[in-house]
Amino acid sequence: MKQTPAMTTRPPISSTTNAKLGSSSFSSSWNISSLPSSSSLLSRRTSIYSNEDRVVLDIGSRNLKIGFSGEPRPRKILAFGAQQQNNTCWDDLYDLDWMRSGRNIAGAETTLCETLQEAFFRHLLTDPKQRTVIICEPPMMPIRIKEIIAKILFHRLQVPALCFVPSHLLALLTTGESTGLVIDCGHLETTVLPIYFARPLMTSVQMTSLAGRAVTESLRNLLKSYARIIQTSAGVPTSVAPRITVPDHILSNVRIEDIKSRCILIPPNPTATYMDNSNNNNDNNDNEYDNRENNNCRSSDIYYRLENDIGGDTLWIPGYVREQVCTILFIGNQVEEIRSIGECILDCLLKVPTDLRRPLASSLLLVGGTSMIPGFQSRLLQELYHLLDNTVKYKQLIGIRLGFMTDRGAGHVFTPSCRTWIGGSLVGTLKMAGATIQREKFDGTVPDWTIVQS
Amino acid sequence: MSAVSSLPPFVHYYCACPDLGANNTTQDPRRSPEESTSSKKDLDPLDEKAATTPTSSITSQQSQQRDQLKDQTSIDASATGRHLLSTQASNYLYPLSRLYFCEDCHQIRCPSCVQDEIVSYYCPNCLFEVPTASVKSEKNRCARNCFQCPICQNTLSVVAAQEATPSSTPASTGPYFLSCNVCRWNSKEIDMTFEKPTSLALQLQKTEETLPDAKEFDNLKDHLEKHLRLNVPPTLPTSFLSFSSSGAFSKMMGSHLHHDSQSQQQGKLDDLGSYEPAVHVPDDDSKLVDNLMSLRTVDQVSTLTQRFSQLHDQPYQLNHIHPQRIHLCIKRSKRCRTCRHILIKPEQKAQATRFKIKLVAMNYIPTISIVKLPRKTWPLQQGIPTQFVLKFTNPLYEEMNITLATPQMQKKSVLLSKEDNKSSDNESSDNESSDNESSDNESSDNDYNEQIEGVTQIRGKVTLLSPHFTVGAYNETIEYDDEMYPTGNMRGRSAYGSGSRGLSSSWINGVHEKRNNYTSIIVEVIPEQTGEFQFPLLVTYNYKSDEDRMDVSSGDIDVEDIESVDDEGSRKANSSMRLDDDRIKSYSFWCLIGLGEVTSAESI
Repeated sequence: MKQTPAMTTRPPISSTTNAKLGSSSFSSSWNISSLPSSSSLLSRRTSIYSNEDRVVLDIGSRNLKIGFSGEPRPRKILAFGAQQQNNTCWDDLYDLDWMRSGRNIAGAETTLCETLQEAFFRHLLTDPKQRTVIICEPPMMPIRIKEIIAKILFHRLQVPALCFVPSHLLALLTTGESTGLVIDCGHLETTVLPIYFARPLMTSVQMTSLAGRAVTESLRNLLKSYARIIQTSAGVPTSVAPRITVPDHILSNVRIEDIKSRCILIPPNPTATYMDNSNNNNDNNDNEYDNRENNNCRSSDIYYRLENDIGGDTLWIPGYVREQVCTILFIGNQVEEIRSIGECILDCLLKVPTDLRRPLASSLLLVGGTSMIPGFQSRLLQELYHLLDNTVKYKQLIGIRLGFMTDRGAGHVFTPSCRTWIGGSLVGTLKMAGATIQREKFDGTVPDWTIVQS
Repeated sequence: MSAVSSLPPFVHYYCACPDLGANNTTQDPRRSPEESTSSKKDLDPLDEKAATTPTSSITSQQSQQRDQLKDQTSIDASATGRHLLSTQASNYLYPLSRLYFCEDCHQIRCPSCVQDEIVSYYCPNCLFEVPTASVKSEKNRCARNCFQCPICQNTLSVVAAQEATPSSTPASTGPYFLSCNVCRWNSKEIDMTFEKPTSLALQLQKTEETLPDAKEFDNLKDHLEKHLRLNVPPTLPTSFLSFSSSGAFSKMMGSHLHHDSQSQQQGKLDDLGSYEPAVHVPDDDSKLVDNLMSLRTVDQVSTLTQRFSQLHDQPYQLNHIHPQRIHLCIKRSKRCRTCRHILIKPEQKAQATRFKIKLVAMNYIPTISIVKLPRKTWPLQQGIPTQFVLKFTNPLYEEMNITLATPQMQKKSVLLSKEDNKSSDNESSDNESSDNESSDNESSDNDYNEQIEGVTQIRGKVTLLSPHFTVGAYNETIEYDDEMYPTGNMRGRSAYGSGSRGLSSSWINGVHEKRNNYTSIIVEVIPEQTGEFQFPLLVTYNYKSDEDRMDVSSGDIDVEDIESVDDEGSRKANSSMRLDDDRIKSYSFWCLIGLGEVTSAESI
């Protein structure tokens, strides 16, 4: 567990866990394998609420996806805090170091409560008292949030039962296969989890804090440095209109999010600048920027209208910014020792048993909203091969064939951001889900995978 | 996130709602009133001081009244009200319009202490009431001709390509398309036209069901189902770890080492077998990247909201987004979670706006509004005393006696000196009452304050010039009559003024205006720090209740519903209700008054 900032959301895996399950001690793994509790998600459970469709919730730090089991897509994606009147900022429900920093737990509870209430009564239009709920659980979700979710669902909405199902496994289920390396690139973090024959290999899980929020921050910084506001309201042609730097108030969270979802892209061929970038990460002076812009930038500049704030002005977003925003995801942050997504994937492959590397490496599955930025997948593949060729650490992986599950089979039939939810919907309709908590038996605690049950 | 963070002035009411979960954490701010009950006794002598310190002459009747009110205050109120300033409290503060009032509990009820129940489904556009059975099959959307614009999410209307003229036959008016009256989008842009102007939803829903993701989903379902039918495993997984602890190795190693029949079985179970997808959707990512690269404006790229309206593919291209059927709405009834009585019950019909039961707080507790006085500085400035008016409107048919209190300040020594200055000031000026509520309880129970974390202080000094006053009864005729009713009750009035009439003379007592069913009082604040200025206010009111004439006459409850409501059994257990004799009812509640941002004097 090298990623200390990443792992703070959970109590560190206890030493007994590592002793039992660490990939270094194979013999003990065999012991576990012969335990009688052998079972998997791919097993059917009959439910007393079998007649009703279940409600499937995919609760992230930013969005809540809701819908009924048995349907091929969620009914609605709700953003937390969006129902507030002043929709000027989006608050994340929780944070990576949420527990340590003592964030506003009561606030999160209120937000979640209102959003869930809204979900049931405005969008699902169903009485929660009659619906079993399936919750897609990302492995790095703070246990406190799980408790709050359970508390709200049981006490406030009075659902009869709920169960937590690992999100990566659900995503994998949508491919129809049971082995794969699932890369969930969401808002707060990117989590890489190998799953072999429907078994998540939790000890090999890797994560990095480079995900949607890192992109947002990177975009904000780049816009502040390179974008300009063109004051077209003065009635002069765009070419000669005065250009001013971007004041902070223009870059509201909502606008940044809009630019992020509409303007940015990941160019396919970054290799030329790549080495420069990783080596001289810190001296981003203007000369370098100019050179790079002239030489390598293939994207056009965008003229983004700002109707609402200052009459008719335009935000000029250079093509360079559009292309470079996501670079952070692939080069990591050497200063703060945050690994790139590519490194996470390869580290994960190093951690799994040797025999599993090949099947896992050829079955990469990208899920999560951030992975939907155009060009993400092909760029990631390039970066992976680049890392394999140029990093000593990954020497033993050389020659491994990397492949995405979406390049075969059904392809891109499901959107990456919804795959987890769709898996939950499948599990719900087939009634395969695992341990269910009944309302009558709820005592405020929720199952925590970091604690080993004897 | 919190309602309190909004900057314009506000009055928010505090709902001390009972805890829903029995096993809640003890840090809950809602618990603070209970926790502090022990300290209330210590406050009593102080309260007495509060009641007797006013220098203005008090008639015996008035002091008697005050004693009574003081008594109630000490019982009803939580000790200081400073818990309202904590960050957690913002979750229990609501504007009056969002609150209900349970008659049986005699308590304010907020959205979190009522329970919602679905009454009926309807389309907000065509107001068709959808039967429960078809809601599910229509996927919570209107099955008639109601669509929302893919661009701006407004309602679309069905338009004929040619204007229908009296001479033309109906057949010649087609084809039909959908058009948005707000953003001028029409469905011809995406080649969507209809032969007939009716049952368009049905045609669209059919295409929805044949989308590739729906096909693939069904295929996956069949595949997994087949697998499950063959394998019925003994136990069930519980978490991430139990998944990892059992399967993968047993499959791999089992055949080599153990030759264990169970692990072989397990291996068979885990292997989903080869899966044949129903469809293949190719990757068009590189094409999309190329398109985006050459963009000059973002007008043709969809926003997240637009993309999320079409969740099966979430396209970047605006012209790939189709109109959606309009989402249904529900009518909800609301129940008090404590006594299970219904507080809100709408008429079932979608067109009807009437309520069968409507117990909203606005009809039970006084409405408090902030009025700016002419020629007073606003926004507030640091160090400058500013007066403003709090207007109390009585919704009841009975006259109301209101007592106000604010929490004491903490910095004792500072305040004492200020208090001295203040009282000397007051002696010289007749316009101000020296009744200084804000500081009379000033030796605060510090223990209590330390208990609540994250409590912010009131940023300045609040003086209620008239903490006790009456508000006239509500009368329907007021609404039709512009003529002023100077006072509802002369007796109550004479208690205050030395036979004064008219507005100007009542200023002496801090009453700015008293008309019809409202009374306005003057409050003076002296902001001491910059930032948002807000202070808690404890409002206690009592009135002579006339149980029989409530409810029915005020139109809150239909006569036919009364019986069913009463049958549910009343449980009148409440601490804050107190019947002094059979007929006097009293209730007290906290509210938080925000006066907006305080600017520093220098910056102006």
